[in-house]
Amino acid sequence: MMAKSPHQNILGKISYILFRTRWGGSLTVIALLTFWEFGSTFKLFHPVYIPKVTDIAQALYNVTVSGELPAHYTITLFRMSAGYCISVIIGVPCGLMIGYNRAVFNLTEPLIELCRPTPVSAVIPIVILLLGVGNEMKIFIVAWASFWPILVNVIDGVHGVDRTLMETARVFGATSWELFKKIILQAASPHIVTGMRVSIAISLIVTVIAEMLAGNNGIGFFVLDAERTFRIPEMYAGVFSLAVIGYLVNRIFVLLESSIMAWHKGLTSKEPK
Amino acid sequence: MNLLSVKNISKEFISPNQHTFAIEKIGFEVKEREFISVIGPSGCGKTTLLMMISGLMPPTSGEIILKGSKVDTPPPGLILLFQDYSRSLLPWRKVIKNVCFGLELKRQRRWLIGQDYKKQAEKYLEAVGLLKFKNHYPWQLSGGMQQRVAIARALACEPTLMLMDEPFGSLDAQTRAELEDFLLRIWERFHQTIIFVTHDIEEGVYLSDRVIVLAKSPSRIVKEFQNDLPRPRNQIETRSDPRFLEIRNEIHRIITQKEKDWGKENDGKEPPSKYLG
Ligand SMILES: Nc1ncnc2c1ncn2[C@@H]1O[C@H](COP(=O)(O)OP(=O)(O)OP(=O)(O)O)[C@@H](O)[C@H]1O
Ligand SMILES: [Mg+2]
Repeated sequence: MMAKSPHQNILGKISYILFRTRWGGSLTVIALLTFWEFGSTFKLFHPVYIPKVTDIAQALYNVTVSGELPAHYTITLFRMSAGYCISVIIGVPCGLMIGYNRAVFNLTEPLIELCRPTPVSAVIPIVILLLGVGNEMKIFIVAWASFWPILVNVIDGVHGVDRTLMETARVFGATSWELFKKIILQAASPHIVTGMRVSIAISLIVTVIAEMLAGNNGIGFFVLDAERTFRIPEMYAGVFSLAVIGYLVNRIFVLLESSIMAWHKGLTSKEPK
Repeated sequence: MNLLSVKNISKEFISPNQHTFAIEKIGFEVKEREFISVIGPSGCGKTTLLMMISGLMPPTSGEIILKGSKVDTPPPGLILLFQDYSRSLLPWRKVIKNVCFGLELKRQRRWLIGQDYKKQAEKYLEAVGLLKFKNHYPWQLSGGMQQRVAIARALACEPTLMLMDEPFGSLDAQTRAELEDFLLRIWERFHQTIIFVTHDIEEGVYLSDRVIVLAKSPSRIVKEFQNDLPRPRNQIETRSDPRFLEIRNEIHRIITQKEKDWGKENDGKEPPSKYLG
């Protein structure tokens, strides 16, 4: 019934669009960028350190068409997806196994609780020591950092499966495999997807950090290098592009999530009786 | 021939900070094709009893024999209809797929192939009057409708022994009467053995061949009634039959008496829960 909005006059329509739809949020971003543009033009703040948005856009355009930025992104996205995929491929099955089997859980839980909160930045020197400063190190760090949220979410998901559901399946005569496939995997899937979504954001962050620490390519390197060589608009251009990439990655995930997990969305957004 | 013998089972729940003696030495026999109702107050261990019969929970002592073999895992041919029916439906499956759930499993698969289980599921969904809702998710249905989906799912497997845990507890009087009669029709047609747990004395008497009355803390059998009311039963005639009223009143008396005794033993304090029905 959105189409038949009750607002007949222009003002009503504008306020509807501003406050009731997602467009309002986009306007906030545009307003901020406009303020930035003018602030910089009229020297409200230092125009060299905070260049005009239009200059940044120009720089972004230049580094994109020159192929510099795409080349760095190719490398960054490769590292990120390699690390992320490894963490999913190992994390999901491990989480399922640890969640399903009490003995395995008891054996691994203290270890997980020790590794998980260790700041990834503290792990980096060890990995550099062992793997050097190349791709292996970066991919490993990304995999490490995104592994834990996946693992923990999957374990929680399995532990959260309703007892009544399990008992129902057992009464109907489900074998352990059927129980696992038809109940546990399904019931835990919202948690699994949540873990994967949290981790993909982390994997982008960690890739960029790893690239800033060592090496001479990747978007992380690009941003830091632009700052050191005083290509300030290029530096901002790199950061802006990261914001957009981060946003897109998350958006894609949210869309995927809501199409696969329609049942869960419906279930959890149901009005409490 | 006896289908099921429950031999002197007891159940204690022991955890570090508490100890509940839920059931004390309950024993009874169930003949094939019998319709038994179990009546008892809330918290007296009815659910626990059914969980043990269905092999989901081992008794602390005693044993349960079904078709000559001891029950320790859920036996084939037995279906338990959970009291908590809304949590027993699979929220990620539409209604029709929920009804198919039991049929898809390896255990049932030998007698159905391919499209057949969909037909079977639709047949029973139709019987509980929910065919129109087959493409809804369970959480889009009302409580009573969810309960009927759970019933259809159980019936679709055509169990020989069906345990029902207060299945009509949350329904309005009219739907309840309809489903009682539906259950009786099903039972007259397929002649499963049914153990029907309820709070409601009249419902228990109306449906069954035999009524087992349980008392509380720890639960034990206070009395068994052979119920020889004529079949087929009828909501109006059966419920006004003098024999029906006689049994109902007798059960009522026993239960109220028990409650008074409870009061005496406990300095006239209110019993922890009220008998319903
Ligand atoms: N898993 C458990 N751990 C500890 N105590 C339990 C457990 N399950 C049941 N009990 C106890 O056993 C007793 C019987 O519980 P049960 O659920 O069988 O009662 P009920 O007759 O089904 O009650 P209602 O009619 O309210 O469903 C209660 O005192 C309860 O506290
Ligand atoms: Mg109960």
